[in-house]
Amino acid sequence: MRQDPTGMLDTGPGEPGKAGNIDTEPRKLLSIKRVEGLDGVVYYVPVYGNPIAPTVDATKKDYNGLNSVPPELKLHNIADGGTMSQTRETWADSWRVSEPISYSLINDAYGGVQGLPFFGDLLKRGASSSVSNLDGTTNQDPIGSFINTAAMFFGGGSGKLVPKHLSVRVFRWFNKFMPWKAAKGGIAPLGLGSTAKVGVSRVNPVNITEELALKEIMGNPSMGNIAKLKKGMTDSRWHQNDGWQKMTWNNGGVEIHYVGQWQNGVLKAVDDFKIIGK
Amino acid sequence: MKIKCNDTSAVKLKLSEVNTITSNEFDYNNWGLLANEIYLVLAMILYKDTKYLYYLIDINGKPNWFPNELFEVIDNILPNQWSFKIFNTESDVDIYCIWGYDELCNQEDHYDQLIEREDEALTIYYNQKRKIEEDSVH
Repeated sequence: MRQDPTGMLDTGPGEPGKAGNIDTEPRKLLSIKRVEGLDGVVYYVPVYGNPIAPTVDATKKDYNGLNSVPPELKLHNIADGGTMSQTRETWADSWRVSEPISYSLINDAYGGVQGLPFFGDLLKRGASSSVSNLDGTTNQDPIGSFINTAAMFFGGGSGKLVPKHLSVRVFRWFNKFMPWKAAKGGIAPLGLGSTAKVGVSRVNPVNITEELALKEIMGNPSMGNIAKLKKGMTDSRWHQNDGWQKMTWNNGGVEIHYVGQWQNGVLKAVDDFKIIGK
Repeated sequence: MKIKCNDTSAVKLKLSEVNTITSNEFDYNNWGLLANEIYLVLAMILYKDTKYLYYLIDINGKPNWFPNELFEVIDNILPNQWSFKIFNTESDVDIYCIWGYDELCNQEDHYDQLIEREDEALTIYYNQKRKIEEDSVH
């Protein structure tokens, strides 16, 4: 068990009264906690509970948490003394393994987390250099290695190669790209999951035009257009029987899809924002 | 079939009928729709909960359904490739009927996939558009 030095991540089921316990057990998302960051921005942080172990196919290079990283971001490999920097894609390539592996937190991060889907969850997952396959064998765990790196950014890894003030700066800069922060005047997304599909849609903007369009619609989600699906909303998370509708927004050529819950002509809740584009 | 956009603003639309928007302040110009521009119609749809038709046209490479009240028909010849299907008897489907290219009427998932911007659906859409354009030339 290590401590999250930022104090901004979830407390989890660890020691009472100690903020940000970093637990190595994957846990189930229980709720979303509202946290006001040092920069005055409101973040929504996941709170986890009992362990679960969904399976993801690592051969697809789809480490969901990783895909939250803007592609232009350079990830510094602190293990090498910070001399190497790689893009998201490079990391994904180096992480590619041949068999499905069983781990949960990254998958959880994508499915139910708002606010700190990347560093926060990586930190909570803990840092292990190998992972267990379903057949009992083990693989080198690139995620674990990366978690070590991420943890060190926050001063929580096995080494403290990055000064804390720099860690916080990276942390703030990183969250600048997180689209699911509650926009001013908007409704915070519920965080019940994401239906973004690789090659079709993304959860993060990759340029200023996309970022502005996303902020615009998150700030006033009721101005979107209702897209009528053939059989309505059938996903149990946002079912039509509960008033959910698929919604779309388009500005400056940027198309954004999300879901909205309508009651008596009033938009009560929103979720699953995604930008259409590869 | 070709239509000309008369207005991009939703100010005159009846929200009880055009229920894909929630305010008369909505402006389809945000979607790239331009007044006085002429568009090729790839399909028409009638939903069960409104008597207003919607046209399927594409703007900036993205096909979307727009309420017919914004347009006037300037070429009313229907393409040879169009099919027609009534969904009224399918209780779980929100569509009453579609006139349009084959896959929209006869392929179960194509309508939703087009909204979801699936590559395969977009490819079908643009292939059909190309055929209609070629036919209209001859």
